[in-house]
Amino acid sequence: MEKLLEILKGLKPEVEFEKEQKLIDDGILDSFDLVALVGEINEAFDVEVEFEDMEPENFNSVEKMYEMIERLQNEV
Amino acid sequence: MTINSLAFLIFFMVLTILYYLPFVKKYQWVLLLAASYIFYTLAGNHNLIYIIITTIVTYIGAILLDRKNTIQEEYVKAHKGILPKQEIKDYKEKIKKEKHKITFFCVFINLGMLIVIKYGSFLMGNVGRIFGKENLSDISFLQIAVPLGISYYTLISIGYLLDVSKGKCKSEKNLFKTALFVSYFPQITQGPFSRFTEMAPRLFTSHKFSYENLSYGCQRILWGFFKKMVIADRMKPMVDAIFENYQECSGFSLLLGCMYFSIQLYADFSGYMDIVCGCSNILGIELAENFKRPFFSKSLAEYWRRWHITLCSWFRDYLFYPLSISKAAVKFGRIGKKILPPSIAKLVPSIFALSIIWLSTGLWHDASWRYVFWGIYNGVIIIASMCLEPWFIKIEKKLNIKAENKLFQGFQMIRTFLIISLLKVFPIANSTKGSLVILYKIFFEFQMELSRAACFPTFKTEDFFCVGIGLLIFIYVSFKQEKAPMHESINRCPFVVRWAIYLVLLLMILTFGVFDTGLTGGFEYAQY
Amino acid sequence: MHNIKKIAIRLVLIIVVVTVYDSIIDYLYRPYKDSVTYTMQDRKKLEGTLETVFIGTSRVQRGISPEIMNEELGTVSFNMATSLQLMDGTYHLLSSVAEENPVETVFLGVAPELMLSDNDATRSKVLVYERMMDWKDRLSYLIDCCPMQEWPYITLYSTQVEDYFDFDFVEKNVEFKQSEEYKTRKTGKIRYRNNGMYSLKKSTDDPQVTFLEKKESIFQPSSVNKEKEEYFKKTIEYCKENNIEVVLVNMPISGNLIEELGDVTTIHDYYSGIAEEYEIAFFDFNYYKKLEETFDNQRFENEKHLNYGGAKVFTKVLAEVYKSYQNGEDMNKYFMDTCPYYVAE
Repeated sequence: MEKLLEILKGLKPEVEFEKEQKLIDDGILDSFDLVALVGEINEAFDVEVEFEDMEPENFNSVEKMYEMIERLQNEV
Repeated sequence: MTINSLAFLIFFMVLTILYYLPFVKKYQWVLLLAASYIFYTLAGNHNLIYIIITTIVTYIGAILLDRKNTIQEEYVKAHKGILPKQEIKDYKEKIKKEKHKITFFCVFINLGMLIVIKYGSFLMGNVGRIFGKENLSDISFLQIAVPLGISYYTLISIGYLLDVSKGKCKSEKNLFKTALFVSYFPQITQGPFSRFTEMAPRLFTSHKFSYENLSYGCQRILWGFFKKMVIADRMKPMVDAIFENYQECSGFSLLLGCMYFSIQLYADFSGYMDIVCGCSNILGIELAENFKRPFFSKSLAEYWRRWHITLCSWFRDYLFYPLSISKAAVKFGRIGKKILPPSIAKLVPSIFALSIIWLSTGLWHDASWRYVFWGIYNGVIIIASMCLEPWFIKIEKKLNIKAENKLFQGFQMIRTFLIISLLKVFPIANSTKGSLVILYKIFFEFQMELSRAACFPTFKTEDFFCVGIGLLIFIYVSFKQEKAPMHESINRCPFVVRWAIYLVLLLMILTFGVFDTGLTGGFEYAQY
Repeated sequence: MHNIKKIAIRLVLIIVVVTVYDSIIDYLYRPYKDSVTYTMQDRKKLEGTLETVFIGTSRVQRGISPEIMNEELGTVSFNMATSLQLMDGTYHLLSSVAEENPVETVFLGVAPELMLSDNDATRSKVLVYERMMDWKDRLSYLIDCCPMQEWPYITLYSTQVEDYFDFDFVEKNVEFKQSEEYKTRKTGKIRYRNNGMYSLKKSTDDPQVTFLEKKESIFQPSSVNKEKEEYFKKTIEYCKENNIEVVLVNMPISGNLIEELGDVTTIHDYYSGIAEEYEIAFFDFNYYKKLEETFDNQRFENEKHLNYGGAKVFTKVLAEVYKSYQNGEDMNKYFMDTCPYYVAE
């Protein structure tokens, strides 16, 4: 979780990621942020986020992102 | 029959009455399907074969993809914990490849039809030019009349296929329901691009008559007609006059012309959106919004989140994301990390995807080089501003400019408006050469001249009044809508005030609206 | 149901407001010179009594005087011709008049140039629409002959006004409409004469107007628009069914118009053919024996229309010819076999 938060803070230091539940729906993270984030997640957690995973539900909050990462790690 | 015609209103009125008859209830969607095909034929296009092929291919493709998903799910469920993870992963890879084949085949047919019909002459013309044959673009089989809405319904269908492939929704088992989704008449002429996940629950359930929906829908339709007939159609002759004679006009007039065209196009397109959204609302089916007061944008990137929203989100979800996380993008990203500063390196996959997106968006509009330039113009500005952002922030800090400063925001909006207007050079000129000449003139032959003829050619007193008042009302409504939806504030007014507003708008349309159809024709975006 | 009542009330409100608004705009902006107001006043006065109708294009509207014809033939006549009237308009207008009046004779002015064109000016439809008295006739005309996109333009005067900001014009217009002159029609400012007729007094200066040598023929029976020809025949058939006598009249026209259209003979043969087919009379005044002496430049307002003086003369001539025809006299008394004035090349 901390690793993920580190990445997020590095991307957008002004956002309080712990509190937000609608990062995509409210436009806090835009499409470019998302792409950069996916790149970082892939590297840091050694997973492959796919097109099927690029849904707002998976990125709206830190918890959701972590769930997705865990799921992807389990499949490997 | 175009959307802005009396014939359409009468057609729609008849449809609405039938729609809400008690015995139609469960079959409202069937009625809508019939109405959509009738509208398609009445709109001048008798060639139903293309949309039917797209529908059938999409229907079959979705069912096959769904089946693959189900098979995979069952397999994983049955074998989890029994087989090693690698085997399950390999199996998933295999299914993925099969799904890709199905998707590719369907997309190839649908997109293929679109490309041949829309871009056949353009491609052949360019191929011919390379090989020294000048007339390849005139081959007769490429001169097929472009079927109504092909750019719109093809992309909607592809989106649906990709959503099913992703597992985001289940495929529609009923061919005719699929046909309704593809051909739904309010969105077929100029969009908005809808998603199956949103539309299916709205299209296929039965709707009870709601007076609120009727009232809101009628408000929107009235407002849409006002924008189209009083503002857009009144500005069109002036814009046409400037650009038909662009060789004689100064750069100043041409720049003004671009700005007028921005406004005209916005009034035209958003007017259409209001009419179709209003109609769809009356039927109880909500359509996605395409505009969010785009001229309040402070940057080009923001503009594209407020203008033709559904087109951009379609390209984002179905082209940008897959491209930017593709293997090619990752490769470019790795190279970028080695040679570029980190703030830019992380943007490389996006930039790669964006370049392709802007090229495609440009070509989606029309098959010509000027749209390629249009795409490049957009792409370069957006990518440049993305890359230069850290420097902009530094400069703003040095000059002590705060983002909340109203003056600064105003400056940003004006700057964005100018950039957007310059963008209009490409659609408005009839040829690539024309658009480049116009750009040259704007920058190098400016010749500012503050006469009425130079600033407002062909405009009469009446036009000033209509467009002036129309725009003032439009701007006022836009400002109010930035804070809260307009129809709520109207609904709070007493009956007399509300109806005074409606009747004044209606009378303004009758008085100042352009009824001479020789001058106006249909809507601007229907040509795409 | 409550909702239906709500909707109905609002619809009625919209219709009432739009109608009232349109009437106000009509009063303010319709020029006093527009003949339709007087035409409809006269129609209303004479409704139910009309026995003779003149119909066709502006050449008939300005060329035949019902007042004089009434004297000459002892009938009650009315001029229903309008500018650029198309055959479908003629059919609808005539049938709407014939339903309410004991019409016995129709003088139908032929317009070969309008039989050819595909371009249907919306303005000409407005003129026909305005002259219908019954809402049913108006509706059937709209549905039958006008594309839906033209309906708002045709039915509402507020969509037709070209310049709303010419306040000078509005002031003068309203002032005149309220004056005694306008109400009594005792003024030289209006060109409305009587019973639908509209005519100017001035004569043309153009020396080239009458009796030119013609050029190549544009009018050919093969280039006649089929739909228009159908409506033409439909009009004649309607009259036959209702025991109305049809007289086709080719108004005396100027050389310039012949120049435009082409061979006088071709036109004559075409309409003679139709007249024979339906056993009706055809008076081709281009073949009139006394054409040169009776209808020279002084009788024409411009290349296409007789002036008031010319119309008065023509109406008398037409009455005389018609009376002879009724008596079974030989029409060669008045008409030649060929036209010497326009020489084919």
